[in-house]
Amino acid sequence: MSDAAANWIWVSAAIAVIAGLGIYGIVARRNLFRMLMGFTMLTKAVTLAFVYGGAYWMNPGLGQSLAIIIIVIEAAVTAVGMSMIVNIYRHYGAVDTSQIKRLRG
Amino acid sequence: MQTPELFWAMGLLLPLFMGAVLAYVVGKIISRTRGDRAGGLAAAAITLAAAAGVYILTLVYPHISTGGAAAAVDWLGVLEPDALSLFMVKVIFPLIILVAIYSIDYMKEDLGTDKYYALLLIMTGGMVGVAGAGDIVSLYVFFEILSISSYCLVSFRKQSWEPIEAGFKYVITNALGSTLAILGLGLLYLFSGKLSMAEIAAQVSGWPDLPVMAALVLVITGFGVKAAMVPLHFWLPDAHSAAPSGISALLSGIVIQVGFFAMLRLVLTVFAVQLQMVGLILIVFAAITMTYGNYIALAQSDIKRMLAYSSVAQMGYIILGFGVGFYYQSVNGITGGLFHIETHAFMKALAFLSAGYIIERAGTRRMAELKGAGRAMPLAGAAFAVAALGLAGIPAFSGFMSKLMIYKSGFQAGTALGVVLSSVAIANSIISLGYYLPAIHTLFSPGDAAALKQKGAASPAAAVILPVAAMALITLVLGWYPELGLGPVNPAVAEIFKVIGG
Repeated sequence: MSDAAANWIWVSAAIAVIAGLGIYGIVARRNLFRMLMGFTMLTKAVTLAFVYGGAYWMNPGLGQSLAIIIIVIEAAVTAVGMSMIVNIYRHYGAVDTSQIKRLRG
Repeated sequence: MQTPELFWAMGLLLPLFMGAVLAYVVGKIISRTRGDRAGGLAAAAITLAAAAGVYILTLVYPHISTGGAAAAVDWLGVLEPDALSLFMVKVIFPLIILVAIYSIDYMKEDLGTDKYYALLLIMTGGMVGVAGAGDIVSLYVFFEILSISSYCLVSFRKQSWEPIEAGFKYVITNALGSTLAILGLGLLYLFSGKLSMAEIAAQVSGWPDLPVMAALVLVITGFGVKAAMVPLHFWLPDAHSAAPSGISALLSGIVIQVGFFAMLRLVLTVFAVQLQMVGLILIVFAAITMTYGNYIALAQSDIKRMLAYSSVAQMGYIILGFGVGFYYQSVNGITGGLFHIETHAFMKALAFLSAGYIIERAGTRRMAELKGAGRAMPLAGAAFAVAALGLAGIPAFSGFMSKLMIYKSGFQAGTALGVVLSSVAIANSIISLGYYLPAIHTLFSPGDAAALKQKGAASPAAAVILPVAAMALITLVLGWYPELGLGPVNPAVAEIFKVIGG
């Protein structure tokens, strides 16, 4: 048992809280940038889970390299999302979901 | 090329991703010197060559997928292709090749088609990677490669508002979905310390219930968003109708099925202990999904939105097949589900491609304004009719054969639930006639055919006729000789039954 193993309950709680905040950001916020930030926050919870998993199983290198892979993917998705926000702003002049809803769900 | 992993990585994935780079670079160089249209053509040629070459490679070496010899290289189980992966690949490649051919004519007015073809190849690589993935991280990485390229493809025509708005909706919901899925996979890693799905599966039975259940819920929700299971489907009609028609065909035909496949892969390895419970969950979702999809499709006035909602409904059939298969250990259910993935891929792609052609010529997607379009464009109209009848499950079309197996699996279960499920599925098939038949009727009823004829050229280009005719042929032939289509399905079913053990 490492030091990391002793703190599992706090880390689990942190993962749950960060993930919850991220989901709240995506679901409840109306500003497109905040929705995207909610997504990045949710990804941080995942990264924490992988880093902690690596530390817990005495294999920190693996956990951290996985975290980097996930961060890279997150950056790519965020870049695509932001490019779409730019285009939305060009078409509507707004980045708020209440003003750009033309499609019916 | 001795081991399956090495073949999958070097033979399939490497040519696809290198082909994407090559298509973009060569396309860009040629479009600088000879104009955009030539660049797009060059990129299309490279795409077709890469996809066709890789497809031929899988057909020539089918045995590699089942060879279980000890790997010479330690791949850490990153790729573990089996018969199920080979089945997906055999559906993916013909579809990609036909759509790429169709896009040569369909996308000729668009700028930057070199990027379009490069993204198409990257998307193919992502799908092939998901099909062959053996550990949770490679599953996630390839899934994200697939997702990111499809985000870009949906909003490819960024000049108009609809693809952009639908695209953002698509990005945010699907990013949420895949992040929830990777959170579930992260929990699995946290509790097992292993990444390979087989190794996690070996450990999972000794765990407390809570982390496994949490991971299961996250994975089903996450990939449920990708697979458009009903409470999570709301992004699909927007994204699938706003995308260029070739991309709609791919998204509806195979991408959402790959989402379901990823879930299936995890269920069959990691959650194999809870298979019965998963089966029950899938059955419930399937019944809701197909009924809801069909009822909403009835109310659509936009032909592509109607087809998109019909994809939701057809997804319900596929999920029902697997749900019944897991819950009752029914061979017919699994076979029907896999076979419906295959038949639906070609039927739905055919519907979107022919509808896309009609829409492009008529300049509208509204059903009411498409009156008489089938008379002005008899080939496209006939192709759409074949696709619609197949999707509705009329005998003599391929959709009937796969749906029949799913109905049979429910009746064979011999319980009240099974009979109810099959009845619901049959009733849904009849409901779906309520929007397919009016659509065909509208296309062929007398209308402004003369005006449409003026707008469009006299006859479609060869690049449109070839894929549409090939898909119509597949739909008709599989309706009469389902054995031909079951060839790739049966080994995959055997692979699944190694896990179910029924």
